Amino acid sequence: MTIRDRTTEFHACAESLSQRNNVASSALLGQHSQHAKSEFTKAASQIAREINSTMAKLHSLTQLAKKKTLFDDRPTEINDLTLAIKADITKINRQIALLQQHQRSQQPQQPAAKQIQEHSTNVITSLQTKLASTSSEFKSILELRTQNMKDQKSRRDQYTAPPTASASSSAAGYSLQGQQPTPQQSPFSIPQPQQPMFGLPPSTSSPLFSDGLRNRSTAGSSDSAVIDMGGMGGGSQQQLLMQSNNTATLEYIESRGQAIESIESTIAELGQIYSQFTQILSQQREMVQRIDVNVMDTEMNVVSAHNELAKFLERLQGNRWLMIQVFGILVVFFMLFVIIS
Amino acid sequence: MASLRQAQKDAVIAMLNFNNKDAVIQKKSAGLDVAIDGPKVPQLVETVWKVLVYDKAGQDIISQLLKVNELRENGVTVHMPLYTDRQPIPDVPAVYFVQPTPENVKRIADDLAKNLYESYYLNFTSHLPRALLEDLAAATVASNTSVQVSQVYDQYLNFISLEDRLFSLNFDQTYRLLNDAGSTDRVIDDVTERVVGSLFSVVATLGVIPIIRCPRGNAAASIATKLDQRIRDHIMNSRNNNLFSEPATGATRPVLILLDRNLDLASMLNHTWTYSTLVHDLLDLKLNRVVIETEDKGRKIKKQFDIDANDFFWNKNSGNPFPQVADDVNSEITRYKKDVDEVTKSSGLTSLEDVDPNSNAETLKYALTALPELTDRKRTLDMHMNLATTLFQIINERKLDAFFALEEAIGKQNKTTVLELLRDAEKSAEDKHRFFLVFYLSNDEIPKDDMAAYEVALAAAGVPNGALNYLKSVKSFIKMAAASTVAGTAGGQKDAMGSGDLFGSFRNKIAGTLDGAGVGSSLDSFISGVRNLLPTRKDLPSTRIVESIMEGTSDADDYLSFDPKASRTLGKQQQTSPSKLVKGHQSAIVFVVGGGNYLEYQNLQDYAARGAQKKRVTYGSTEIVTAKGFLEQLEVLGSR
Repeated sequence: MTIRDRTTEFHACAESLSQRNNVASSALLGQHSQHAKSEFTKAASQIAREINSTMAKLHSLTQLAKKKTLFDDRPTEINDLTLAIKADITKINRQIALLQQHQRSQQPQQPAAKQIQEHSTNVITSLQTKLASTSSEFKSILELRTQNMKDQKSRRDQYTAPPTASASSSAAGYSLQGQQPTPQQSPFSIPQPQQPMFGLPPSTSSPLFSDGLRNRSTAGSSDSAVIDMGGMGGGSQQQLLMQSNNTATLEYIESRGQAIESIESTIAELGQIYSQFTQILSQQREMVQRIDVNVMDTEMNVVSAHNELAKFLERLQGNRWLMIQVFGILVVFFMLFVIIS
Repeated sequence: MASLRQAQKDAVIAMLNFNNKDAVIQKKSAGLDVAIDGPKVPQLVETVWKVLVYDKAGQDIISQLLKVNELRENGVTVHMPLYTDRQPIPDVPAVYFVQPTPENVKRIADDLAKNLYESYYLNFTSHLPRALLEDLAAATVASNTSVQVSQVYDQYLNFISLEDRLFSLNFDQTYRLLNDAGSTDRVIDDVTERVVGSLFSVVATLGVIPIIRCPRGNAAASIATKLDQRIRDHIMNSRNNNLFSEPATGATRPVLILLDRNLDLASMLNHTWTYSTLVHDLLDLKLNRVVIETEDKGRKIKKQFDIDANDFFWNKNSGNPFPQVADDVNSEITRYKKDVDEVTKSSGLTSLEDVDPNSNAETLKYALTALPELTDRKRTLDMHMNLATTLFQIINERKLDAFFALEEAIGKQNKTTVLELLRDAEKSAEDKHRFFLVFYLSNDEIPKDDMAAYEVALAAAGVPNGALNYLKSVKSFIKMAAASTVAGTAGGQKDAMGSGDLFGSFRNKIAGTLDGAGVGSSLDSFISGVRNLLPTRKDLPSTRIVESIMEGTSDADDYLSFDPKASRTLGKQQQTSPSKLVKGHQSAIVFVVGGGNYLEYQNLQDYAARGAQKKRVTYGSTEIVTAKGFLEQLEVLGSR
């Protein structure tokens, strides 16, 4: 502790003074506990804690997602984390909304407590900003992850799908995996019924989509024939299919898949842009204020001016009364004078 | 060593986090992380929401360091002055940042008694005397609230950092108080005591013990002695846990150079030509805030502009001569427009050919990320546009360019030019007054009958004679160093009038861009009158002293020297032997007792940037005072 800290000195001083005054120090301690935290504070700090823990999760996710290698890819972990974070974010969002509602409902009860209101509004705003920054970070990580997966896919394509001529020979080698395409659902999407890839030519014989099943491709996931494209946060999911015995169809499907994918990612990005917009709007408000913006002073001055005016009015009224009195007395005297004379 | 401003900011942030040093470190490292690889390290320190309560002094300090949104980041939800009607906000801790005065302490005790907040973190801008601490304790015991006081801290922060290397103590009228024969010893003692307290804060905030140098036998010397004593006492009393971190061996300690205003009065009165000095002198820059009154449809509108520490334009141009700044405003606006165009072009679609499902959203996203930065830039440029326009107006009205040109070569002016200027009806009395005082201070011998003629001319111009009387008396017993400043400033005028075409082009350019920036287009008429002058390089007396001390040349040997760290047995006088001190200094804190201005600050920064080795010079003064304010102080002194 540096010399700056004088808390102990203060408390020692207070202690000795209170002993001198025979105030039992236990009474002092009792005093303190009366400050029960209000519902609002408790809820707010709870949310803050949750945001913090989410951020911690996000951090570990970031580290995982940044790994670019094909072999040290741990999809299970990543997916679990993304799921958890997603759930967290929605939960926190709901809680904040609840808190806001609670705060609004409190307002009419305490019309006088403007500063309390300001405080709680600011708490909520800061929570929201924090959540917003967390989720935008989350989104950017997901984007990164998607990008990585794309890269991986293109790299994998180089090995798994050599020029079309050798399609038949390679088919044999891949038959094992090729038979069981295991779609990976992008975990962060809202679970929704998977749509079969439209425009699928009838020639694709094998049951390609094990619908809705979230079986993680445990066996040989790193080079399975089905390639997962991580969707954008907006609830997209893509499946890409590679069918080794029909290259033409494959190419067709691939191109369709890419088209859909790009459209979807565009939509997701747009969604993100909108959310960013709202964030910018909310931030604009307090960006460049300095604390000595003299609003407070002005308010103070207005109040004191009002008081002065009120005082003046009072005096004026007093004067008026006095005037009437004096006038009345004069009249009485005048009457007396008239009567006497 | 971080800059003074940064050090103070860190201290304030730590204070907002209940003096928890880890929070600051964590925030810093998080910030660093962002710079390196994008996503943030999670902040594990839980934010506690609190309210901030400050008095005037605390407000001035914080307002220079943190914006409202930064306060929010540190968990401050509501911030209020101490002396307002504050309503109770239960279950929220409150951070107080106030001066240690009896009234403030009483007010805090009242707050405690009223049970306004959950807990109280009391921070005082400087040392809280024991007596006041006891008062506070007594009051809290009386209201049974002493447990709620969670912290009592002395912050040693009672100075105001205006820029990274500029600080002010924000006193008032110090020069007058210190030089007035009518001031009682008590007043002078009081001022010195406060200066010493603040300087101690500066040194403590930096966390290093400086070597103190000062001239002999004036206010600065007495402050130096007291400061030395103060630091010694502090080290003595607090052995190992004092405010100063032990510097690593080999690290050079800064030198604290205390100067007295009487050393150089002329530079306080000079007309100036660089951006920051003009803004300060003409627009009365105060605590980094400028208020401009403009007339709009007969109504007077006050516009406020804040100059931010991160203002790129200000940082770049504050030391540049004004015409160059005006030019730069223009080029910055062009650059801004270009960037905006680029963004619009890339994100907006001009034809259907451009519809590209893959890249379209990317660019839109890019546009959105670029948007906040662009609006920020626009706001800054708008502000400087406004400032520049107003400066143009004033310069043109008062013909300041002529004054500046003459003062640049003040040593060479003869009687006729001076008289001519003094008789010029177009120029204002204040400017004439300043010009003449500079002339008077810069010329050692002025013949008696010339002087009489000047005085008649001055009186005719309606200039009061108080300041001149005072300066006469000062000059008679203080050897003015100012005279030598002007040596070698030949070519100051350098017929700069010929470069009017530079302004002409500027005018044309600016006329087109102004409409966008929301400034009236009648600017060209102002600019045409203002000539393009470039100040010649010259060092002010203060800069020359600083230079000789930092370089360790023999010019400054007669300056007193104190080393608070050295053991007392050596004795102060022995240490002054120059042989021990000849080593140069890499960083210096220059403090002028009795008022300083941006001109000296600029000059010192120019010096610091000049050498091969980067030097650091931090400049401070009891107050940053405009020429007008200083003239008023002189006037009062002379009329006694």
